[in-house]
Amino acid sequence: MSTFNAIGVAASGVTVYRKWLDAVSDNIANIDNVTRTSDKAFQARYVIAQEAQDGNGAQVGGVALGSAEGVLVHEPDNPLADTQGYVRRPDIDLGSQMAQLMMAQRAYQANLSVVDRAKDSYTAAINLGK
Amino acid sequence: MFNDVSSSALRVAVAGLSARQTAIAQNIANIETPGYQARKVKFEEALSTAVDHGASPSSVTPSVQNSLEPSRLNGSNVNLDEETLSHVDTTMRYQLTLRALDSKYSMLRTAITGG
Repeated sequence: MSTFNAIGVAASGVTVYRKWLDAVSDNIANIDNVTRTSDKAFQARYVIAQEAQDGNGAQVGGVALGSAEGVLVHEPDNPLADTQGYVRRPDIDLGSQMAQLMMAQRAYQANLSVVDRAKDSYTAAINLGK
Repeated sequence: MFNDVSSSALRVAVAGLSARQTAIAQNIANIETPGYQARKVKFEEALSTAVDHGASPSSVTPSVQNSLEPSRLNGSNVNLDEETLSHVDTTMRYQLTLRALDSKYSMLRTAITGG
């Protein structure tokens, strides 16, 4: 256990939710990618949070990938369209990505305010005996 | 001189509140961890029983229990409102306890230096 343990624990949470935010923004940035039907669609990434191995905070346990199948869309004018006029687009729901974004953002803020309050406690402890 | 009941009770309280502070940080860090069970640190009852019965407060160690809150859909049962309030409360108690400890020490310092 380090001296300023609570700050380290909250920092690990901040890192997890920053990665989560990165993953969601990447998913949204690629939401309209178009690929040939012979290729895979863009796969959304979902961060899986996990309790840290040493029991101090959280960590990213892994990443789950969305469907490589995507959805087939009829766009005959698209230069990537196959002979039947289909292209592949990722199967990502913007609404659910926005919900994830908000959730990760709030969790990020919650962890940062823990750092803030823990700092007040540690400052009081440092000033003991002055 | 440093091991009177009130000093050691205050030291145990500081240790307990510090453990609670870390547990709350741990719970908030794992708020979206699937299957995570929130932890609660308890020491007040044991400390007050020890003081009431004239036992040494320094034998009291904080105990960690899993929270009995209902789990959310992802299996985590961290309640952010409760954790936040409890953290504010813990921070203030911690500072109050430190202030009390500080007054004990300043009395000792007065005795040592002769005012």
